[in-house]
Amino acid sequence: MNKQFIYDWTHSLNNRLGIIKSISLNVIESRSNVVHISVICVLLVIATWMTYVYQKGFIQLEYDSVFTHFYYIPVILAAIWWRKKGFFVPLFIVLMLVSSRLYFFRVYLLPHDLLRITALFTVFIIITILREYIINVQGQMISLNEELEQKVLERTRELEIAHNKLLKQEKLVALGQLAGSVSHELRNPLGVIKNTSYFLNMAIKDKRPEIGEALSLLDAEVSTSENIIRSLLDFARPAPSVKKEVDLHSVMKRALTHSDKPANVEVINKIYQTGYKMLADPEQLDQIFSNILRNAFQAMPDGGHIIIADQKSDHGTLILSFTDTGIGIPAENIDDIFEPLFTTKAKGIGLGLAHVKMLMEKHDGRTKVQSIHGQGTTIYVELPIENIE
Amino acid sequence: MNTDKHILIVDDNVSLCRIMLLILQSSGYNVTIANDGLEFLDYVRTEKYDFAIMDIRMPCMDGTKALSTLREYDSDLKVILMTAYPVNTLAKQELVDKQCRLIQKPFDMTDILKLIEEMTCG
Repeated sequence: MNKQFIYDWTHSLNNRLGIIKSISLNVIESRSNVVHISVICVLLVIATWMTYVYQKGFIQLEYDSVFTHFYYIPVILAAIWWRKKGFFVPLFIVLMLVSSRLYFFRVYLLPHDLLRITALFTVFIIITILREYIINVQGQMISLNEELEQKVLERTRELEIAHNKLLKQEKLVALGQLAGSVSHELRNPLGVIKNTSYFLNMAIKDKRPEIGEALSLLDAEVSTSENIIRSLLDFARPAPSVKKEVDLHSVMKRALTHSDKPANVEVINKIYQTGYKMLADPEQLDQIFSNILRNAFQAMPDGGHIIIADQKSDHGTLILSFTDTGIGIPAENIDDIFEPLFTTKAKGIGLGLAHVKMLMEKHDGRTKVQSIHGQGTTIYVELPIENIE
Repeated sequence: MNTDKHILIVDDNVSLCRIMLLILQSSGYNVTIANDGLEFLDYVRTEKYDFAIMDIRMPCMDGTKALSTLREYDSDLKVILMTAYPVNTLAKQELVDKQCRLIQKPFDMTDILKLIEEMTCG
């Protein structure tokens, strides 16, 4: 019972506090209104008093009276502060005028009073219109300013992106120079190792099987090193594209033969057999396909299948898709997979897909990726086709 | 055995020269080593060689310069140029003709032996 009472009491107190709060807010808001009303009243009194002093009588307004112009000040202020609602100020002045005429002259209006009243209302109306106009212009200026600020922000962001891109390119140029010289220096000792292994194989007759195995391991590792150097050099110092008419199907077939397909992966090639012909560098096209295929194979350590399909677009391009059933790419990595040196694999330096993107750009093509983590990935390459037979 | 064939290996990498010498000698060739382009020109002026396997980048005089100097008075010597730089660049492809081939380092000696066989027979 007590609890219910306390609950009800708190509730009603809360309500009351809410009302008090809203009233106090209204009061604060209307405080400026009170100031305005006071100022206008004071100005009206001053104008009336000045007119009276000049006339040295009790409100005897004449049409040539100078101080009656003081009545324009509260009218102008009312138009500025209250807009249309300020209409009662000139109306009040008119009532004052009429009542003074009635009191002193027993007529409603004297000659020229209608002119005075018209002038008063005209001033009020003009000021109201001007005020609206100024407010509009001000609003436009504010929105223009905001637009400008937005543009500056956008441009700054673009500049930042361009700057970062430039930094990245500088890094890649440095990497290219480094890769070139390091690769050259490494290829020489690798050559010696390779030839030494060859010589040992040749020189040792009737060798023990483990010596044979060790020598083949040596050979295999030398070829792995060679592949790393080649991919680094391919990316860092790409050969210029020598474009000629190529048959897509045969290039794809060639890429499939030397992309080291594991036995547990099945490749389903659905590319239109009679061939798309396009203007491209066959070597580079081969590199594009092999790199994509190798990545797909690596994404399926437990086997799976890859579907290679083609689709013509409406704007004279061919879209090839490589869909694997591999481990997929986590969403947070999707945007980075074509970036150089990005890799999540224990093996590899992360240049394969960056090389694909670079070669695609050389062929005025585009790359795209779609992936569901845990289910598989589709890499799309879009290439311009010269003609379709 | 090809004991009648005399091969000149030109490379500043001593280990590579040595291992190639061992392999080629084991394959029955008569082998001499030079360490740069100038030495190569000295050798070919004084003695007759059937074949030269030469690196492109070498001190004193590089392989391409040595080859063009040689070609001014001898167009018969068959040459294999070795390079650690990518061979697919157009400038290097221009060097290739019937008497001269390019090979990418690190190469397989089987390829070199095959190439020697092919070039000397053809």
